[in-house]
Amino acid sequence: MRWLVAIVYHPIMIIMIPVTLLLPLMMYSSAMNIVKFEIPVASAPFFGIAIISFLVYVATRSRFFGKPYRKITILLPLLQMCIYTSIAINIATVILNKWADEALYSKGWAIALALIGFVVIRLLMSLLYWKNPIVQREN
Amino acid sequence: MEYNGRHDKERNNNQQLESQELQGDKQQRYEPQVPYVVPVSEIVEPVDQASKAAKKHRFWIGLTAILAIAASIVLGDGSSFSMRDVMSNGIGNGMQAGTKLATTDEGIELLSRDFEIEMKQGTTSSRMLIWDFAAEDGDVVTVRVNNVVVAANIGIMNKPIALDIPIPSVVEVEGVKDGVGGITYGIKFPGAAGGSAYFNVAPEGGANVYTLKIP
Repeated sequence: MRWLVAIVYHPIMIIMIPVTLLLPLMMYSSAMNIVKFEIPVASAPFFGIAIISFLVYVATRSRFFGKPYRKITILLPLLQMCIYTSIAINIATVILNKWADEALYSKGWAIALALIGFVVIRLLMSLLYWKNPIVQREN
Repeated sequence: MEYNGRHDKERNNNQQLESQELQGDKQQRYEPQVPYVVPVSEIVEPVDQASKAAKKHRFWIGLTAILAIAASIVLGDGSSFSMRDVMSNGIGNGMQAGTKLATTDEGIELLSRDFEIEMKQGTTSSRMLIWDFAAEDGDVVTVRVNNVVVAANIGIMNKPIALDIPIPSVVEVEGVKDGVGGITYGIKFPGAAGGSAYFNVAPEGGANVYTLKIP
């Protein structure tokens, strides 16, 4: 049964890996377009990020499904970091979109709130990796 | 056996000494060297820490997936709209600027309308976002604010164009060139009280008027 699931899982995962690695860059340029052109843009759907997160979770949870991806030891942690960064940028994009589309606040406030949102997520990410390092410290 | 005095005594002593030496040798030769055994806790602990960290990361990525699904439900990801939503009055409630309603200009039965739009209290300036909500077919418009041309002969695309406008004001969108099937455009004024987008068809050579006022 798990071989049948693997036939579906692995092709999707192989496609998602480069997408996930490039996602923060794509979303960053999209967010910059909001500030530059003062128009709202379509933010990355959270559902897509949820799918990518789930695929990575399956790879970390199951030795069978995650075996090919553990060959490159940095891959799964890197994908996780890209996902967290993408979420941070997406939150910033949502905040900027609220200004561009509805003028809920001024442009200056929009940029400040977006930066704060991004920094908060990145700080939480740093805390997670400080408390649970990928490579154990010798002492 | 006769006890032969001193010689027997010495032999006995020697025998006793030999047996003691032999036992001492035995002790030196046969006492096993007990190697230092590393306590199990010292071996297990680093591996245990690594697996704990892996479990934590797995937990957080799983939680991220769940939270992302919740966010997509709450924020209403990927809502799709169609002409039916705006056919009656040309107003798209809650629609984002850049919303595309149709893939082609044909069959769009929108009436050309003028609108009066109320802006939020205290608004002194805003932006006007204008885009083509159907196919990018080369529609061209001119925008006038208070009878002053602010953008002449702009080709509208699916991606909105932003223009700064004062509040209150009267905005006119004049149709210059029709690509195919009518000059179809959407317009939104961030800061409007309703937060709606407006969908319209500009007659070629004619204009739609948007009166922006504050309460």
